[in-house]
Amino acid sequence: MAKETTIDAETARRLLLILSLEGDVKREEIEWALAIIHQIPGYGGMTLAKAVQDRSLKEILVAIAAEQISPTTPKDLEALIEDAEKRKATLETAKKAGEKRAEEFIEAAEKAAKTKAQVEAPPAVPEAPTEEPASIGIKITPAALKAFEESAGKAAGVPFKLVSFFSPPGALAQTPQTTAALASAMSLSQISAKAEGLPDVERKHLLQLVENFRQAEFSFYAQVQLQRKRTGISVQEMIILMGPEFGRSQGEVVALARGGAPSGRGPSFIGRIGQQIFGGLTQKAVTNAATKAVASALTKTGISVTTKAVAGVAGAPGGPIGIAIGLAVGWVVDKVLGPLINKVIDFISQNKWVLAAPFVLAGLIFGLPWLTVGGIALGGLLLAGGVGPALSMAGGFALSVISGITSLAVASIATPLIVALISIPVLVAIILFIINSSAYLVPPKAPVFTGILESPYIAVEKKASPECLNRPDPEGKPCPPLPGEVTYEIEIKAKRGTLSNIKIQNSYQVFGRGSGDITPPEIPVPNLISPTAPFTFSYTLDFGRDLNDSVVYDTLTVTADSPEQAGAVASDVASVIIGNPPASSCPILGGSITTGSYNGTREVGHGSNSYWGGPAGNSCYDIPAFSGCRSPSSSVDPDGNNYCRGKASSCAYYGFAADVQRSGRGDIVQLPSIFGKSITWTFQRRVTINDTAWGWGYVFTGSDGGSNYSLYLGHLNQTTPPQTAPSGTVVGTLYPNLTPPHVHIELQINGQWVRPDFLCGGPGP
Amino acid sequence: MIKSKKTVIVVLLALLLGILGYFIFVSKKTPPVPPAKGELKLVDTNPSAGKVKILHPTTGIFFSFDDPLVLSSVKVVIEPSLDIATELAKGDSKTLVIRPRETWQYDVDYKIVIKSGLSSISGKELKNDVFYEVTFEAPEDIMSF
Repeated sequence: MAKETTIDAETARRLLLILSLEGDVKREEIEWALAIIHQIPGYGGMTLAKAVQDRSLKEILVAIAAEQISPTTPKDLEALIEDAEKRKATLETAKKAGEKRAEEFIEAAEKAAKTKAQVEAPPAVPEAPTEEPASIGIKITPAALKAFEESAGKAAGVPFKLVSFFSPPGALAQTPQTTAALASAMSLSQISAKAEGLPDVERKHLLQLVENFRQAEFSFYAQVQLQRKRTGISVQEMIILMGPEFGRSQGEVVALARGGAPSGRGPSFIGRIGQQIFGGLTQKAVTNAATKAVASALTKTGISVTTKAVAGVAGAPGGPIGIAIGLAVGWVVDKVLGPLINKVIDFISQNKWVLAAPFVLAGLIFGLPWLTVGGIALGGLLLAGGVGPALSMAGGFALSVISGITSLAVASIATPLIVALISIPVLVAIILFIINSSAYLVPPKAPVFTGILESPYIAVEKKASPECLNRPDPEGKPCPPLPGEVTYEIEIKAKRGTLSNIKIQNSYQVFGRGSGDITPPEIPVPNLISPTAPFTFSYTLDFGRDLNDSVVYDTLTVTADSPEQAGAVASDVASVIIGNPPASSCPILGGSITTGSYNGTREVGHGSNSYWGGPAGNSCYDIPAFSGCRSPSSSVDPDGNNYCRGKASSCAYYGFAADVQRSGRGDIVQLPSIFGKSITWTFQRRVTINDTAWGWGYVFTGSDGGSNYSLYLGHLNQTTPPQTAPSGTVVGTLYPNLTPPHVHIELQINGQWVRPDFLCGGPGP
Repeated sequence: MIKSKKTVIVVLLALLLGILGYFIFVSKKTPPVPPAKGELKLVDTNPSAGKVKILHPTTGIFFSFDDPLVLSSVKVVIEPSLDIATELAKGDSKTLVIRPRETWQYDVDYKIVIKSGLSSISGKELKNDVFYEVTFEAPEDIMSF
């Protein structure tokens, strides 16, 4: 808020101009006006709309502008407002004087717009346009729009998107009904007719607007040209376009603001081809992608629709997405192909025989002697310089070829041939770019193990050294005898912006035969962690003999506020293997099975009637996941009463899965051993479960030298497991938003599903 | 009457000679008819051919036939070349399982041919090659409780 200032005649005129919403009112100007108005007692929280409608304020400003009242301060204004009734006669006089001099006010205000506002530290106000805007950027007054409203409902006319592009921001924000009427119910002739009855300035603006619409309707290229003439969409327009009324994305608005050729040059011949051909193709690609996305979303919500209907919803031809992409692609083609074409022109100018080569080659390939001979003849002609000069002409390549080559027939073949040769790789690249845009946005990189619970805002890493005690280590690492020391190193990084309100929790769990307790030292908590200065800390613990034959897990959990998210959480686990702890085949140490594999005799477990919750809730999806099996075969459902019985793809391995929940000792999930053997597991892939609503799942494969295994662990937090790791390695923590939190296990041995229950003490495999 | 007896005896002898001659000269020339051989038929595949999403890259392909199989008679050709194992499904000797010894590659079009000659323990035989094409795709999202 600026401090109290004097409102002189010029300031008042300018305020009036802004409050009248005439001209190209910029956001900065509105802010400036409100900053002055808010200084007036009682006007502190006034909105622009109220200021526009407040008659007493306008009367005072008119009086000041007309120099009926001396330049005054907000305190004076307060007094004026309080005495408004008393001074009504004076104000009335001032108003009348102001009306008589309205034209003078406007002229003075336009001059005033060029002068610096007399407010301390005013916002930078761009100069008012000194010349009539070009064919774009026409602003029409609310009065004019009101006139249009009278004719609403008569005829279909201007596309809505064009109205949104070319109408004044104030009108869009305040009179959406009028805008809609313009879009849906007015013909251009009707608008022209209405414009004739308006004052000169408005008539001119409206007729220009009509002309813009006509041009825009004429062709898509006309839209591009119109956009190019524009100096740029104002911030306010962008905000409106992105607002709830129009719902355009930021990318669409930027594409529209940039137009087809941001460099200022007109689109080249190739550029136009790009806009027309590539724009259409890419729109098709996007439409297909959008169709898939919409269909997927609808399917998940249980709505059955036809693909055609979805496609209609997802990508109506000529929609804003298509236009935006067309513009963007046109720009890319213009930028990318322009220099390339110039190089091709240079090359061909110096090596003219190249033009003849395709014909000779084609003649040889297709056995057309006339084409071969013709090509050689053309080469000779080109080398002789008969058509050479034309090729060196600046400008569009195709136009150069057409105007330069003496034989029109040859030109008509050569042009599309060369254009196609250049265009196809670019086309492919563009389509691939659009399809894989998300992959390009985040450059692919090797997975990095950054913690058990990943966060986009916090990276936590905790390492133990050594990682083993009192045992021979297969990898040759030193495993000192007990009692021994283990040093833990902690590193906490801020990924996006400084972390604050940091909380660190450090807990130990001992699994196996050991019985000792571990008390970690207090970790000093920093106030802030910046992206450039990670927090590091290390400490050493003594491990006694009472911890022999155990695995010690240390979980470090960090909670902090980042600029983008409050309460972000990340964690990491360091483990130390001591002696020979019992090899655990259960992914959750000490875990117990809550729902085992399907048992058709007792009708329990995964895929049982109780699992589905009754026929009404029967959805009968694949169990195991993506097994293609949705119902039990008679061999496993002897009485045939399973709700999913009779569905397609029955099998004997129906319902082979086990849910295992923790036993109150943490939420760590580890890679299991199989049949008492340690397996070296290889991480294969991560999947989301029900769009992350139920956490993430991880697939590992491994071998014990004789059998091959594939293991799926579901309902874990998001993490990036190590690429290869032996049994006993912690791979993640349980996803907490399930009741109860549990890990869903599926297992294949030698390519065949088995009951995984045996891993955690159940039957099977 | 005697004359009639002689006639009967001659007729009977001729009949015996005829029967004897039939067995000696005719019946020995006819080859023995072998028992009819049945055709082994494929009744189901899992996963079905085409593009298929699989979570486990070791997933076996199950070819179910209408008779218990003789595993030693299995001949399989796969393109592109891959180290595969052929086994009978656990608890189901009618089903042949073809699996990779390591993993399938996602987005690769595998062409599998089970050669004719595959036989069942009851003597049925696969008369024609079985052609099967599959492309495995990796799922991004799954449904499981």
